[in-house]
Amino acid sequence: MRSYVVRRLLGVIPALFIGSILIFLIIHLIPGDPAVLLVPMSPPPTQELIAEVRAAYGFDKPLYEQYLIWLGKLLRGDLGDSLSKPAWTVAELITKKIGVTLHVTAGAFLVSVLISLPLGIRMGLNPDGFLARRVLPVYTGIGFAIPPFWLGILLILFFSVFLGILPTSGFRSITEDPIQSIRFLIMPSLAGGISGAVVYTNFISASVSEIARKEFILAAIAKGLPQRRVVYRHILKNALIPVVTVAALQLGTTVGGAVVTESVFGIPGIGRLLVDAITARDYAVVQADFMVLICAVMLANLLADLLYGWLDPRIRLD
Amino acid sequence: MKTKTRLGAIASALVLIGAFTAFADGTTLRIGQVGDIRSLEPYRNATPNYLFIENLYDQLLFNPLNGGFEAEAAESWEISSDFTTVTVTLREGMLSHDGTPADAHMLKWDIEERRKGWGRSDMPVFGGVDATVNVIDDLTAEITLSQPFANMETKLSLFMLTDPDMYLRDDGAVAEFNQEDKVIGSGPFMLVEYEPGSHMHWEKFADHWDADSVMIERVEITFFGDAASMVAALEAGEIDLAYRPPYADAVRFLDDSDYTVWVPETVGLASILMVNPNAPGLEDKRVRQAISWAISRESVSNAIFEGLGMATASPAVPSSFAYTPELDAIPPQGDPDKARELLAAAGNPEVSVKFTYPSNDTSAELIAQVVQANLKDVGITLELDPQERNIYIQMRTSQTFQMMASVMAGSNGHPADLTDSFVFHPANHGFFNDPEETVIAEYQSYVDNFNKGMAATTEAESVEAWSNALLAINDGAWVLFLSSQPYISVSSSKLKGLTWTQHDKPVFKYVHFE
Repeated sequence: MRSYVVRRLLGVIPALFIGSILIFLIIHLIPGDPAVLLVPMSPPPTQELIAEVRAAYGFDKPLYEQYLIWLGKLLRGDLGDSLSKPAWTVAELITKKIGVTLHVTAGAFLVSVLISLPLGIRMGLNPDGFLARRVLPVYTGIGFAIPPFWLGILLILFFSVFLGILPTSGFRSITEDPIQSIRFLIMPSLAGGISGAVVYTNFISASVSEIARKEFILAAIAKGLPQRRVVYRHILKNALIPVVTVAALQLGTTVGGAVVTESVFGIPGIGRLLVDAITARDYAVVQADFMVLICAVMLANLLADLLYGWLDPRIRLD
Repeated sequence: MKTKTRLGAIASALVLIGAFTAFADGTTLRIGQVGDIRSLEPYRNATPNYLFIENLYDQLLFNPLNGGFEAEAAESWEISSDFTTVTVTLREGMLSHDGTPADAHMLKWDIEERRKGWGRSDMPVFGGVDATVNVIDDLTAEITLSQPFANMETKLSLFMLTDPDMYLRDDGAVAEFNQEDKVIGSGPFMLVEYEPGSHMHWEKFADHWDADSVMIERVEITFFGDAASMVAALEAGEIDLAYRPPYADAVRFLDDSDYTVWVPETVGLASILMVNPNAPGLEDKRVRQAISWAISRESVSNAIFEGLGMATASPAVPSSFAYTPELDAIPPQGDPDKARELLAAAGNPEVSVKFTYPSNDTSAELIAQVVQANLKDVGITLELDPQERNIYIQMRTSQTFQMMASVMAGSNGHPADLTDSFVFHPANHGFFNDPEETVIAEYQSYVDNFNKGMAATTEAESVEAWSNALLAINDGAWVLFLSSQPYISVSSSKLKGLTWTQHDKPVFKYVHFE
């Protein structure tokens, strides 16, 4: 098991390396000179000042050289200084924000699970029922069609403006003030978690439906085991194996979705940081931010692989 | 029973949740703003979105909305008759936020040394004119300029008195290029917390010379990622003031007695078009003038600013001493016939122009569409050219555009304030890089009259020179004024006492709650 984890972690290195090249190229190949956004506009900047800024930040160097410099610093654990907020290092900014995004992502994931698990099981156990045949297609269509941004605004209008019971925006840490934290997280979690819930519901429903028809389940029922035990101990444990894969993949979408939810709900997390950094052409922050997101998704995939072993003893992790 | 229990639980949860809802406490001003400030370097924020930051500093003079200048950090000031020297006497006992004296030595450092920091804005100094400061005593300083400067008082009213220690970082290094990690000024409020991308908290500076006038204890500024969320926060009572919401939202609140829409009577930003006289087809002044006459400024103002802007072709407001009705010769709805006449006089050339604007600026896009339709009526083809903001700025600084939508700080006071804009800044040579002043004669006329105005010693000379300078702008038609964009804010109707300076700084120290 330990050697498996070590091997998987080592396997992450080439993926991170390729990811770093792609991120670096994508952000640097966007047309335009970042130096013009850094110089003061009044008085009008001279071409000499723009060239000075370009040189100071190394933007005048060939792209491969800029990449190698960045990579070298990255390997030494130095994420550099923010270009748009030079009073802070990128590491300081990301450290401040990552906990915030974890709150939002965890909230969205929790909402997805709380909605999808009971719904998926119910639909899977009764695939010809009203829920599975009539409700699921509509629920899936609406869930996929509603953009989180729009859903977020609707939630704000209903819960904050109309009912006046939830704050429109902001953030509190769960460790600092649990009740306020939950109040701030309810709407972002709903907006970010609904689309995930739709995906999970479909997978759980299909998977439960398939497992429920297996002979060992029929045998369990024939033995007279209570229905609850059959469902949770035998059907669900087996049905969750493919769902775990989907959940790991979906985590990337949820983290990516944080960009939207954090903007709508004024949450100062790494998604919002990324949006601000892209607007300001803050290469250092954008690159580091993406690397953090890649690491998060890879970690989730590793976690999913480890969960397989726990859920299905036939899968040996060695 | 089960259903009733569930409903009861939901209702209890809602009541519990609602019980924690935040309300105004009457001593804290909660402001919503879309987007973060640029940095803690004060002059980096001297652009429309961030003028509230000036409340952290004292300006030397205060320029109220109804005109003129009043004492602020400077108790008195005396300008020499040749506009080259100003003697400033600061208030006695004035302190910086760190408790050290805010005196003439600090002023000297601010004018002579602050600007030398790499990448720091030159803005506090007199429009690029060299200035030296002679400290006469702790409270008195004599500022001498290398050439006459007519709008000295405007500059003094924009000057933010900062403490040199502000430019020393916590780690002891000298802050360069927006690296400031603190704010030390002498203003009525002091910064107590700044979380980039999230919020900024200020507290009343108890040792401020005018602390007794300050009616609130705290200011909390939230940086929203989205304008719709900010407006929703205002409606939910979470903020007291939405700073610069979209015009469409502001209009919605006009007839709602629960809200106050603050429309300061200043130009705010002026929407302008830059018409490059070096671009093919635009060299002929009559073509540029035809473009100006063809545009319906009224349509621009109504479409974009929901009627809250002022459609005008004049570079100066009617209250300006240099204003003359000739500056408003073009009617707000435009005059396509006159435009056609001008084109006929120019030989009816086939003009096809590229119109560049930032792709993320919806106002500029609307302006482009209105202007495109107006010019089509007179036979001029306009090709819309949306560009990424940094490419747009790059094109602007390198003058590689034909026509471009832009904005500039409005000239509310003296016409020489126009030099604060990149369009009229002397270093830019008319934005189209005309150091020899040979590209268009009207630019030369503008520069000549500008210099005359700066050095004018009698009122008659001053009025004549500045009026001629403004008329030269309209005649040369290299910059077309379209409409003012007032800096609108919306607040709860309980908020009172908000006022603005002529240069659009919202003044918080008199704010209070009903």
